[in-house]
Amino acid sequence: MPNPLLTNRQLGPDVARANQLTNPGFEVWSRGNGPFTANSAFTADRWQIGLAGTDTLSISKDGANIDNSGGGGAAAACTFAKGSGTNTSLSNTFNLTGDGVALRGRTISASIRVRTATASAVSIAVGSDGTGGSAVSVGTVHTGGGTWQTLTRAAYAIPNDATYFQVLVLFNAACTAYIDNAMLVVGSQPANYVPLHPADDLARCLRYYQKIAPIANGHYFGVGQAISVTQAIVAVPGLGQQPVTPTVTITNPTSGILLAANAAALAVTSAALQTQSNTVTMIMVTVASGLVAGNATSWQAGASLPSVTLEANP
Amino acid sequence: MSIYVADFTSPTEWQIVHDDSRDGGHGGTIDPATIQHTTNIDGTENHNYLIIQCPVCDSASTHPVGGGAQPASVQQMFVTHAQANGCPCGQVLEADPDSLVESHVHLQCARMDGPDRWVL
Repeated sequence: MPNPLLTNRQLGPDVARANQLTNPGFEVWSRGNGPFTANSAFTADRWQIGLAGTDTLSISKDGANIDNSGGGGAAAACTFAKGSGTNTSLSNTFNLTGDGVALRGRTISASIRVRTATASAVSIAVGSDGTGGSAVSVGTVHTGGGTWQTLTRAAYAIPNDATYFQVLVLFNAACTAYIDNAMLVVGSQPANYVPLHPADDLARCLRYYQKIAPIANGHYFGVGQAISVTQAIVAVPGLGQQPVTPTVTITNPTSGILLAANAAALAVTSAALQTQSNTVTMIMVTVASGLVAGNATSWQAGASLPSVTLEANP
Repeated sequence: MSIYVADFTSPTEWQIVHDDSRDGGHGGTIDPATIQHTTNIDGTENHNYLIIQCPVCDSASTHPVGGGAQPASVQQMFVTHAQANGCPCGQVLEADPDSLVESHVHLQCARMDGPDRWVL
């Protein structure tokens, strides 16, 4: 007896499918808890503000107003004030040419959980460029009432020549809204949210943003080799390979110390990127004196906690 | 993101944003002449990286020519910097046509991050 065939369009939303989004549950906030308000600012990892006209949007991490149907411990609290703009957004963008994302030519469906008391203020959309694509293709709209609702945009065909694709939450009336638990699946039917394993969730985020920061005074930061009495090249290991060469931001470098041959602390006077590889960032760390060329040394945190941030946005 | 140029206001003044700072974000004005290439271990300048010092706090971002955290702003910064100063590799000089300088930076970008990375 032949097995019956079930096509994608016949699937119910409770059939779990692979989620293509990075940080779909708004669980990872590498840049802090906010509030984030600037245009183009990243909020939760990979979720970026897009302001239109004179609109304002403030995004913060919220551990209380979460969508309990999806589990997890955080949502995005959004306070939107309507100005002259249309379609101010919180978006999650895929670069389809430089990030190895294989979504070109595929039909996709997106969904997200939203809670707001204001009707017709928040909607979901998807968008792309390319032949036949639409920058903003709107799906369902929240009806208000202060309940969690699942907004969907089903069956969007990403053009074969698209260079980017976005899932967007659109704001078009003043409101407070909570956003959580998004899904982007291949196929014409949206899927209910299924949380990622936390290891997978974090690994996806680290592909784009890594903050290497000791958590306490005295913690080791990297090890290296002195090349003179004042300078050492220190290797700071990355947390995973990124899609393009990252920008390296060093904060509070003068808070740290290098260890001398006798383990004495040598105050750091400056630190600057020397070179990069896929997995290691080499920092030239400078002190006033006290190093011995050829000796090993280590970079330790001071009271203000230096950090190295690697950010790659394809 | 990082410390990046939000507005290439004039040859002597650029507006900077540091949107990843611990206070939630700040910015200021810098002299473009303060933006420098990184230095190789032999003391030569590396034309693949430029450093921006935050005018407000003790942070500095080193951007790769591919664009790093902010492709459009960073690639434009490399082009504008090379048009004003030439490139330390000697392939283009400040007196060269702007389009030639941009082509050189475009090639650097492609070598670093691939041909699809250029956004200008």
